[in-house]
Amino acid sequence: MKRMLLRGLFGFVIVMLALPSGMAQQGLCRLSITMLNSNRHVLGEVNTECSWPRAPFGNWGVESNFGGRTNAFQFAGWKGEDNLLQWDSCTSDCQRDTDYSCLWYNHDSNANGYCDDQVSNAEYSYATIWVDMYGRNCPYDSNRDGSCDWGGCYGITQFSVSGQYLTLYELDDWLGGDDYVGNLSVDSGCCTVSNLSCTPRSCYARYSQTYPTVSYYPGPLNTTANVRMRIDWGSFIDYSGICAQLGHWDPGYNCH
Amino acid sequence: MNNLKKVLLVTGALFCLESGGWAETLKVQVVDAKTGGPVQATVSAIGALPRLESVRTDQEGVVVLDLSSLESVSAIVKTSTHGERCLGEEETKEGMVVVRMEPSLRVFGVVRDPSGNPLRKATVKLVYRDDPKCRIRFDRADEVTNERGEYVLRNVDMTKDLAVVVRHDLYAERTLTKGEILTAPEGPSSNTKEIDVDLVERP
Repeated sequence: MKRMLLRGLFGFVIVMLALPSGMAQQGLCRLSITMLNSNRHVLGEVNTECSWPRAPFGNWGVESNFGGRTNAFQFAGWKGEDNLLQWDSCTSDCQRDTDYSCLWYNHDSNANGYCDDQVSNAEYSYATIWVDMYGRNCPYDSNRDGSCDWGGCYGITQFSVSGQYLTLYELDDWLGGDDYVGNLSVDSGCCTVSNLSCTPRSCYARYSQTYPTVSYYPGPLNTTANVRMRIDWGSFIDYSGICAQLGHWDPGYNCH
Repeated sequence: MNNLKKVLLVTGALFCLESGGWAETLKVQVVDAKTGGPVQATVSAIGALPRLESVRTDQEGVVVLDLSSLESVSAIVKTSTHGERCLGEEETKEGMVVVRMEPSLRVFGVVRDPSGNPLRKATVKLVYRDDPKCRIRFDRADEVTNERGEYVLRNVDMTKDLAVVVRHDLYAERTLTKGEILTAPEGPSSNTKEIDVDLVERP
């Protein structure tokens, strides 16, 4: 028995010596972060898709800090076409404030009975990224109840991003390129999730507050939206296998 | 004595400014590999803090990121015309990186069923091989074919190992290799490739 213990201790020391300094900090916590937009409002003229046979409706994609444009719901409009939600992208086809049937615009901003602008409120994601937080300690069970209570993702309480923008394109098929619509800059405070809740093994979904877009190019500010960030999940990853190795020598590392 | 104090204070302050003792900067210049011209890009970087700094290049293709330290900083360069590139800690630690990037491709075509009819709602997914130095990864959404069976993959970075996976509930999955994309016929312009995909019955 004494010999076994000595062998175990010897093995533990060998592993400690073999590993680089900070050996228990070899894991990472991966965060999945999704950017969302809502309350999209197209107030002014948009004439990017005026050629037959596509005009006037088109789907808009978003080129942003965290991803490219895809033919999905990145900046969802209001007109159901081709299983997508599209925008009137050739407003010169129908003069604003003359659309009593609301076929070309879906909102009456000045309440005169004629539709004159475009609104789409539901929230959709436009980009998702994974960010790895390196140098995380291996999850550890300090009170020996079987559950990790220290290390891993535990202790990450906030995450923030900066410099957010959305460049809008009216998306075209293979016949042509995509048509530039405009660029939206988001309020400089965007975005911080400050109430992040992480256990050693995982993090729970949390949202930032909502931030408005503050500028539009080419101006004036005739397209606006709200933006917020969601931490979808967090997960500890023992990418080098060191935490599993440590578990052979110290049962505290064998926690869930 | 007072003069000596002043000299020490001023020297200390100058040293801090010179050495970036309060903050450090990472300068990244993004250029086209062939022409050397500037490429519009966004550079996002993360260091020890739980914060992702993101800045867009200026007209010279340059960004300067203010970071708390240059230790363990990873970054990703994202463009809409030249794909994307990860910068590992080894590349960022000097505080200055020039990134040369190749123009990307727009890959498009029609997905057809075994009878040759255009197939709607087939998913077309671009998959890149993981780069282990990347701490920041983009999660690409699947493209879905429209009513005419058409798909478009934008900004396909041919400098990476990649594959395109085409799926539909009713038929066998098909994978397009990088070689198939490279040898496919050009579309309307030199940075486009046209590949129609014929799916077959499941075995």
